[in-house]
Amino acid sequence: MSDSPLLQVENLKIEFQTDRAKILAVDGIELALGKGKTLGLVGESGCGKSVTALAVMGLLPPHARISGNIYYREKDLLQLSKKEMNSIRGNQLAMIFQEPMTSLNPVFTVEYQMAEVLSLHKGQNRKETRSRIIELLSLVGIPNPERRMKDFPHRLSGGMRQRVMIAMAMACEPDILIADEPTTALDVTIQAQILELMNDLQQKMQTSLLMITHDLGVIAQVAHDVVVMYAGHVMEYSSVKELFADPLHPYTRGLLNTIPQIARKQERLEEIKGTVPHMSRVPPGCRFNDRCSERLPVCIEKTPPVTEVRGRSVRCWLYN
Amino acid sequence: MEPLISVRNLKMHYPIKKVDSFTKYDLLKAVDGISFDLYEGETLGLVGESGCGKSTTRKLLLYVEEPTEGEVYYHGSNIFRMSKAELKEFRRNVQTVYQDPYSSLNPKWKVVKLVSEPMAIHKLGNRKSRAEKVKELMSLVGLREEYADSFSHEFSGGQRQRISIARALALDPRVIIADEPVSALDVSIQAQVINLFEDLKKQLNLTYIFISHDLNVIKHISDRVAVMYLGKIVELAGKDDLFEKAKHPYTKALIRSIPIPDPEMDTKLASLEGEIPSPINPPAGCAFHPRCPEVMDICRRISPEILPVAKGHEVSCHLYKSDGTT
Repeated sequence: MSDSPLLQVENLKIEFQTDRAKILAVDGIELALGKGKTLGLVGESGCGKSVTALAVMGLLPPHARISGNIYYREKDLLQLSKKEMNSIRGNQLAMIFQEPMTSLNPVFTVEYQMAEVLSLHKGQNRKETRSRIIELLSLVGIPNPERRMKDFPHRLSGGMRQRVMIAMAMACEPDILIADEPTTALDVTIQAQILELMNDLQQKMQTSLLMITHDLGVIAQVAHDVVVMYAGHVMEYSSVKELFADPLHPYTRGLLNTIPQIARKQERLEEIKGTVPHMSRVPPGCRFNDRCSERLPVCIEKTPPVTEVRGRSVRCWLYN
Repeated sequence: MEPLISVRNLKMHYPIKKVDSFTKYDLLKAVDGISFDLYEGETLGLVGESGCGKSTTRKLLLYVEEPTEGEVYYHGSNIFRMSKAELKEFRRNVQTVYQDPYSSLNPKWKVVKLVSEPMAIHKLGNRKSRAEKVKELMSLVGLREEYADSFSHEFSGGQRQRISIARALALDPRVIIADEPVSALDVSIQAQVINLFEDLKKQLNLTYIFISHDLNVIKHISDRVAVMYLGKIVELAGKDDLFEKAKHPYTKALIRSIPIPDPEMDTKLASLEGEIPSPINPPAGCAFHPRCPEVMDICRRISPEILPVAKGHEVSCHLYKSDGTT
């Protein structure tokens, strides 16, 4: 990481005001994504990983209160006007979602939906647009693109729809692609295809990828650096190799031990006790303290600060 | 040993109206001639990708639907020929747990009613004895008794799945067919529920059919595993044989496509070409042939029989003959 990162998130806080309480969905997280790199964002439901992605894209609802900085090429995305953000979103920042059926419009053809992106950001004429769509669809491995682009989304299988979504996201050759659980809704053999495709495209276009997933297997295969989130906090941030070889935070360790693995013989799975807390009921002190197997008295009283341990950051009293 | 449940040549073909005709139907072959035995005390894993027929198999095993063809024997008698009373007895012994603990529990009912409903239907005991039993079941699945008067929305996903399991256990069944019971849960909760399934099996001498798309889970919990593809069982073997000595090209590909949580392992995810074909017009011959890396001429014409290649290891592939040679 010699040059400055392409995307840098500093002290990002996202708060939602509900009828009953203020919910701090993301509480002061820091991320950095370098050019051509993949940053994995792991965590369980409600940990704030998708909200973070939406904040980067500027897609949070108006009632969300955001503070902190999101720098993209020295510009703070949170300070941009709506118009400036619109020209960046879809052009230099693109996103693909988990469920490709709900993110494609069912009443328009693939061609129509892809042409919308291209005409909006590139202002090409119809002929250019059409040949570009065919080029993009064949790039993502859709057979017969001239014919398939006339299809409506329901005619495509889940894997094909996700390919279309990727083609659409890559249409303007973005600098940064944010993928929110892109393979969770897919079958394993199709998941393998999509991961390979994303990997190929990244190598070809030098795109930076922010990969959000709950699947540590996927993370191990694609990411360079990993951020482990829990209840709105970053618990651990390190390179993928160090994270898997020597997890620092008890939560990371727990996560790695709970997953059944084909390669290992396990008599009984290790458990993380308790349940993921709702964001309106996070415990005081360290947010993981009620489920932690290595809890110290201080964990209940004070929130641990982020500490540097051998060039990695971890939020845990064990390292203070 | 006598099998507890034997399935013989089970088929379920759903008629699907053709788009361009008022009178003609296509057949969707959801389950297309499967046979297997389930022995007392074992866990049989059923694994496959979407549309392979795992959930339809569950429906047929519980006689929720009438099959097109084939038989399911429970203790030697065919469940599709049973009288009403026999069938009720059968259903008492064979219970199920569903994937989604949000939609499978009635939101207007308290836990005590949810868990005691099966007992009420089968007219077991009175209200008081049922309430006692509910408490027993709740502590068995690791829920505190005080929660008996709560509604299901007050619980997290993992706890709801525990309620579903308590409900399935209410009639002291011998077999539980669990359909993707941990797929909707967070990773840290999955392990808790899988461990619960294993503990209950030991305590109560249960037999499981465990349906999942997740090979990691299947490998962990099963004794034997059946791999399904487009309505057929392509390979059936003991767990270790299946994962270490997989024979069928599909099983091999499936095992290779799981992302392994170890960045040091340089696994280029070997991906299969193509997509799962529609079960409405499955490919002729072996249904897997358009995606198979080892396809031969015969595969395009003749559908392979499932044959034993080793002790307790059956494969449906032209690459193998019944004596185990290739």
